[in-house]
Amino acid sequence: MTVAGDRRRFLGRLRARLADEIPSNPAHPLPPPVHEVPAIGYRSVQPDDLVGSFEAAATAAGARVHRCVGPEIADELLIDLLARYGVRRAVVSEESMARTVGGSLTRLGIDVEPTPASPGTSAAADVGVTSAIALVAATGSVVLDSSSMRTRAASLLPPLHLCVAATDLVVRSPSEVLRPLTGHPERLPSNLIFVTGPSRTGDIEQLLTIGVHGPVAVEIVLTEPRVP
Amino acid sequence: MSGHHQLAGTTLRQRTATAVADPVLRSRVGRAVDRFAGHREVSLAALEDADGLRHAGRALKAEILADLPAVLEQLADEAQARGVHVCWADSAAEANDYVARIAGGGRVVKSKSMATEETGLNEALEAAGARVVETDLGEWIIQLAGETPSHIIAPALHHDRHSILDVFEQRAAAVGVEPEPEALNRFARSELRREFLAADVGITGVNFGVAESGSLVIVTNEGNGRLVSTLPRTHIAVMGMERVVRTWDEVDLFLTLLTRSATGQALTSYTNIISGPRRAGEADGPDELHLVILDNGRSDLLATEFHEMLACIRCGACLNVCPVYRQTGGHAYGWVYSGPMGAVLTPLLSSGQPEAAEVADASTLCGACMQACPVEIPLQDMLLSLRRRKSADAGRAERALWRAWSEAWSRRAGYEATTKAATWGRGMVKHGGRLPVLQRWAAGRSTPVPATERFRDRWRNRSDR
Repeated sequence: MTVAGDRRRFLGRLRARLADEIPSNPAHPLPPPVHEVPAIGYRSVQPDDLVGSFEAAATAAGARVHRCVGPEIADELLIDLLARYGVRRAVVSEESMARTVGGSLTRLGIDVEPTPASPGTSAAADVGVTSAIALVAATGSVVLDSSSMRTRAASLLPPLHLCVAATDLVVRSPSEVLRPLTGHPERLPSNLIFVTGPSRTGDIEQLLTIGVHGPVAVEIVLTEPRVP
Repeated sequence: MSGHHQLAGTTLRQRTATAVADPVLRSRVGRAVDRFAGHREVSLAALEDADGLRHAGRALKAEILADLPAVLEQLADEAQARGVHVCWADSAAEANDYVARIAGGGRVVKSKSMATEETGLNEALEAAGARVVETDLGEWIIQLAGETPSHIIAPALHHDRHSILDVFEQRAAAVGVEPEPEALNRFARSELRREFLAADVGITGVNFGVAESGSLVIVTNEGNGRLVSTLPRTHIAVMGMERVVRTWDEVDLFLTLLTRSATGQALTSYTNIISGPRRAGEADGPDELHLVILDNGRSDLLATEFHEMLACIRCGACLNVCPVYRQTGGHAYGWVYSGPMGAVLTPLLSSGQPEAAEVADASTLCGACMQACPVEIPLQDMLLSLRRRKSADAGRAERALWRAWSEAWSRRAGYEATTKAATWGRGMVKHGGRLPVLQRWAAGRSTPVPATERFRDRWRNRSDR
């Protein structure tokens, strides 16, 4: 990898500055040092109903959440969603749950693009199917991992993002996803994404407008975990 | 200093007068900041002990800044180990030159980045023959209109649907688009989608650089940050050097504070965590990833009374509670940063620009900014220091007068005597007589006429005693 600029000069300048004592502010002195980052408590999360809390938070963020009985997604639900968004073409990420949905879509007469799909193919699809590695109750986010999905664009370019996951993947808060990475940089994929509702902007008169660049709709389908 | 700005050739007073004379602007700004500030309060209240988290945030930022060289070294080493090219940019010009060299004459899409607003990157790229398109909707609007951001997270806050449609019709050949948010949005989506798919280079800012894994965290609501960092072959991220944290535990804390303080969202729509370019077997993502670490005057703040300003996470909460920002919006501050954080940063990061010093006056010193700041930066203390610095050039007579006033009012006898004298001398003030030494201070202020009877005399003589 290349290095540009003069690293030694850059850091030397900072070190020279920091050789001086950092002045204290008598009006507003610093709080005492923190030895570890404090845990974050969430009043909005019901600890005995994480799935319900996730559902509420994701809905508040503008996604729709569906709960299935059993580990499979019923065809009726898929048919419903396909009709609602006029889906004819789909891209599917390379994870087993998403591929299972891909199989169902093919059976239901949808053109499912072969993976890995190029960005151009994803851009032309009506739906991108993904599966999450975690669902976050405090924020309503689905967490996507590029190393298992092998595509970033499937959850980004089509107007509909359909994400499937089992309910045992619901965690309390972002802390349960982020903090286990501390001390384990090798766990990071090239791209880890928290998706919280559809693409949105408030840039026109601070009015919430949906789907400016990414998906206009996010549909999350929760299945029951498979019994081992 | 670079970056397009209106500092040169105008005074704060002129810019403020222009803003305040525009009632439409004031009502738009007022509505927007009230909405942001309200959402922030609700969102922080959903956390247990949000103030405890803010104290911890301040303490952790102080630790990181005290150890900044080592933390930056780790970030760079880890990023390089994951295949990232690193550029150490001392100045805006060095950052711009590096980016321009990589972008060449190609097609560039950008997601919102205050650091590149600061360096004036777009002009540098265009001068080098590149075609640059801002893709954040608000940034695209102001790029088309040839303006600067008026709020660090809502850059087109000064526009409404009609003025946006005018911009689209005049500068982006929009035809038959209704002045409705949905329709304007659809127009922008289709125009910008073409740009994303055709672009060679994507440029983003960085919300957090994570030293222990060399990762970049970028938050956006629109998804443009993801498109810019996914579709083009090359992704260049420009990061102010102070935006680094050490661990993922810290990311958890600062990300939570950032999104809740900025827009009041639990998380923005997309929290995008990037660790190196695309890997083998992945369908998309950039082949090349560059990280530009920018100083541009920041290191001058280290170990000074403005040291803690480098803890800023650019949430905009201080703008939303500031009584001055509310009346003027962002353009009156004259540079890319506005509100209380801008009033501190503008004089400090643009020391070569004499007009910048007076921006510290755009504050009432009420302290609402520190109350709202997620990392409790004592902004009002810094503003006061900047003013003290600036007043070093006051005339000798003026300084003597203020000193005498301060002495007099520190003692009861002095206070009694001067207030009595003021009631006797009220005719002089009333008839426009002004103390000549105070003219600089009094210009633009209405001079209060002392009452015929002092409050303490009225209290003593009141009839119901």
